Amino acid sequence: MSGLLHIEDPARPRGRTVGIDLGTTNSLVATVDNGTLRVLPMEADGSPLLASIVHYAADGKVTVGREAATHLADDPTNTLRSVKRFMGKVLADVPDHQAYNFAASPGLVRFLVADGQPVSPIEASAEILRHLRKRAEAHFSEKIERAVVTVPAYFDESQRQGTISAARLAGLEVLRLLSEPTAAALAYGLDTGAQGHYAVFDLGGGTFDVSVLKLKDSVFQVMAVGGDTQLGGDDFDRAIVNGILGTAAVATLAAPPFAASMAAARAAKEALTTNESVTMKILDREEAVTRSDFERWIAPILLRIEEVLRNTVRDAELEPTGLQGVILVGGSTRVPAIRALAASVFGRAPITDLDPDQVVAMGAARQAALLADEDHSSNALLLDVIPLSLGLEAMGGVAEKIVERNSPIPIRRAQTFTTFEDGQTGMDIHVVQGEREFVADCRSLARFRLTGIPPGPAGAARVQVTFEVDANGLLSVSAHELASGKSQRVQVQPSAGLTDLEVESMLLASLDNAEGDIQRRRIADLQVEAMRLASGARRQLEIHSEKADARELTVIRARLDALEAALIAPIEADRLREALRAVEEASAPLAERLMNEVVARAAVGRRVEDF
Amino acid sequence: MAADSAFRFSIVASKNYFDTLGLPESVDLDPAMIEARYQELALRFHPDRVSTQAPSARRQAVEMTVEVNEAYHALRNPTNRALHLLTIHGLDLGQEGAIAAPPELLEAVMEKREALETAIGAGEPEAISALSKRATGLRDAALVRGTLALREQRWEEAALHLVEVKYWKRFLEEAQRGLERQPL
Repeated sequence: MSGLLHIEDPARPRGRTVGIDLGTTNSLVATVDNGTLRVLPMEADGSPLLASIVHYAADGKVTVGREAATHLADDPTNTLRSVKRFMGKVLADVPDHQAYNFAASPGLVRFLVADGQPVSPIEASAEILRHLRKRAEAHFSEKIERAVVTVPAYFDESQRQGTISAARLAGLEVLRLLSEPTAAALAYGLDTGAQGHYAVFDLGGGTFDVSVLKLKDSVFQVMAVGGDTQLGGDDFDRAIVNGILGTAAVATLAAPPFAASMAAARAAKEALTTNESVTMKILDREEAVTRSDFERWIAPILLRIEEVLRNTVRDAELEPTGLQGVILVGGSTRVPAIRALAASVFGRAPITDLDPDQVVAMGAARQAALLADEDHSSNALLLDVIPLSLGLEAMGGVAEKIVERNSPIPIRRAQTFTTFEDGQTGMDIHVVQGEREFVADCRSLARFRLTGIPPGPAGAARVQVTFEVDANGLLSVSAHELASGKSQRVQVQPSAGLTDLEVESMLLASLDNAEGDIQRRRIADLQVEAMRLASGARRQLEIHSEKADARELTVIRARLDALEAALIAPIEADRLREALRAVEEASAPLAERLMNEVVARAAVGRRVEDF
Repeated sequence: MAADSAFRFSIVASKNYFDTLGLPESVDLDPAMIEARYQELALRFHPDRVSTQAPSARRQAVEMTVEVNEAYHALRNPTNRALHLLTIHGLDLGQEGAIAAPPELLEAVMEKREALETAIGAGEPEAISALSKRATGLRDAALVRGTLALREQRWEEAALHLVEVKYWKRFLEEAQRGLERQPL
């Protein structure tokens, strides 16, 4: 989409900004309210923790949180938990195959819920985010449109893109994707005035991150990050189930007994934090589990964690014992063996006096307040890095690194390539992410082809490929033939994600089946969103009216009138869709001229072929 | 032909990152000075410091920060700093065939690589660690020799030592990957 509706309108008044911790197990919202940090209640009893669980009932009703959790036992395959572990994944990457039903489609993994309805992890996450937003709005009786959303530091491009898409579907603009350990460090550092080098060890339900930061004055500089987006407390639960039943038997379990066993294991794990032994019920039998059984079962996971901790400190060019402190974050760091591990690696008792469940949301709220502060009254500043290297496929299938991991962001790197054969006029660009030597072992992000290179002898052309990574850690790639000036620009859109167009059409498609709570909610959201777009576009049009010709102005204004008329209830899906499309179409040339003015580079449109 | 038809040519016309950070053009920079300078410039230019201002101001801030970040990344690490200094003096080791590695070096690297592959294949983390340790020593020694040569502006000689640093660095990365692939 490229019309005026998509140009940011800086003059538009904005609602309150919040920080959101979109967790694997629980999600939270925090905000700075008149200078005071507050974590908002999400459940009826005032608990700030919203269980990250979404239930899809057969009648189309969607529930989130504790209400959804009541269906874990009776309707496990329609009750999605830990959806964050599926973000940005294709079916082949998926853990826990037996827990859910999946659509056999390529690309982004999709759960089949409520009689075969496909739901992506992005849409399920959007349900959680929408619920969080509504609760926060109800709390303040105020519209909330913008948020800092936290992600594991080690999230890759497609997982980050997926999180942004989920927020958009939930009616939230992401001010910044903030790394979870960085958020924790921000909350801790701003509260205590701590100085020096700190490690944040963040072990949640499904992800594990470690970040090493330097805190100096009010600057929080990330030196190195490491982690594993497929390792967390869920693995401890699985280790218990495997330990008792044996891996082979577990693999053959049907979804309901598997879910019940995992839930029993989770309860046993939590009890073992304070007790030396517990009795748990698993598959209709009673089993005694001691803390040392548990620690034996999770030993391989602990080794893996220790390795990542040591490597990350080394990447920061420090010694583990040379840090001023180690901050523990995430519910899984309550496990005594994890605390002992942190103490042994870093040679000091970890800092555990923060609420490991809330500190990430608190840091996100701090960052949201910093970014929304008109006067920039605080000197606090976060300097982040990119977690995984970005590169291109070079000869022999080797991944040529262009931007190394732990490079500070935003950053830009360019590399010049030349043609290999006489008369060559095109060049394939294959963008990959990861640390491995060969492209086949890295994550493929995008492929595109630069065409129209002037034919000449091999080695004559000069093609400059530029990688730009923004403050959210998101990549765009442009290629530029230096002699002809021919250029192409690509916003990387990973295969295991949704394109902008898909997100738009999902928002619109929800108009078609205006039945049930979800659809009604979505219509209301869309209506607000369309009104916001229409008034923004009108303002842009008046500001830039001298750049449009008279006829163009008349047409755009008329179509904006029609759009606003279509927004008055009762809303008709087709009419609204058509009105939106008409405004887009009429304003596209003007929008393009405006964009070209601001973006120095000309964009010669060729879409990336999603790999 | 696909992606094979593109091969790396060179890093784009290099800027002088010492100038960007306002630091003397030297291989011997005090790390604390680099850090302090970086922090000062980041505070002055980072886009988050102007997040609520007009888009033009934000774009300019991004441009400035990108430049500062690139410079910081190029100078904070001693090897990158030495390579950058060399590039400024016309020897870009990122360019294919910029300088030929001496045959003795290639032979030594090849020999160690074979040993590494054997150790990885056999799943012997101790052997991999031992090879890493030796390669680290060789890399550090080459960096010291390269630094000395740079100090005395013997660019060609420095280039030879830095090529060696790059070879051992790559070897160490492979060894690291080998260790990570070892079963838990």
